[in-house]
Amino acid sequence: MNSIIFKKEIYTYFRNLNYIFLPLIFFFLVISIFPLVIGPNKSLIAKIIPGIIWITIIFTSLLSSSNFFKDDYNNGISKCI
Amino acid sequence: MKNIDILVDNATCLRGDNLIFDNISFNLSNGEILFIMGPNGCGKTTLIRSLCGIQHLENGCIKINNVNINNPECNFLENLVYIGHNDSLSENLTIYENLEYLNKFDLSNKDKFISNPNKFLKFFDISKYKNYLVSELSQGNKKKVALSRLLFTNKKIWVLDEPLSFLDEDSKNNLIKLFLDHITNGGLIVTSTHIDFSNYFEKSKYLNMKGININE
Repeated sequence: MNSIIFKKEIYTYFRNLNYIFLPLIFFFLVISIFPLVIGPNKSLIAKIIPGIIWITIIFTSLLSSSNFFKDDYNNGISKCI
Repeated sequence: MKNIDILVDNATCLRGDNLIFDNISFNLSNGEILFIMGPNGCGKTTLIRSLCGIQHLENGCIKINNVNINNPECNFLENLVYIGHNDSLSENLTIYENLEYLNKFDLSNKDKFISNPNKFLKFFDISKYKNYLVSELSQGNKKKVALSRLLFTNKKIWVLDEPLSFLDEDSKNNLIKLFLDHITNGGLIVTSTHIDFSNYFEKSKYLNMKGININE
């Protein structure tokens, strides 16, 4: 039964490319805008960029985590099984 | 054959401050079909949802075989199929994948659909759409796919919300035949409907619901 859930989620994701690309675009947008905002301070950027990447990853996964259950809820699958 | 009794006693449901329905009582046993009729917004769907345990009742109780459905010992879902008015289908899967998925979750049969899918797809004449995504289908075909679940389940209680909507004449007749089969095999059906098809059935019950009382 786990395999069928996994299969369904994989199909859902790859047939709906905005599920994949929207978080990716968000991720790169945030990462690329940060140095622009901070200014040309090399040592500061080098210091904070790993933290920023991790925080962005967390926000990005938050953004896409609603997709796991939203579809199943909206089309009623979660009610019928 | 396993006997099943559904007893609804004085069911009352509120949503916010609005009374959806109150004091609804009926009982249903093997081989019977219940038609829930009434105008739009009178609480048919809410009643059906509360039968499945999705909707909380303010007052009254629903018992299956004398066990309250809120009691964790009452495994009524093992014996109940619910098809709501949205079709419980994943838009991004094909018809076959959807039914395969639903079949895997239906523990009452042992991969009945997967062993012979064409037999079940033929019943509602959707085998030609087998590899179409559900999002590409018409409303009627979606309904047919959703109703195809009934063909391969061994569950006894069918709770259906407007099963006849969007269906063409042939499919309606097929569905009524399916209902008759299920009833003669000792199943129970609870269905909300606007079309009266009770003349096909010997033992049918009615529940006429009144309109909603809105507190202003």
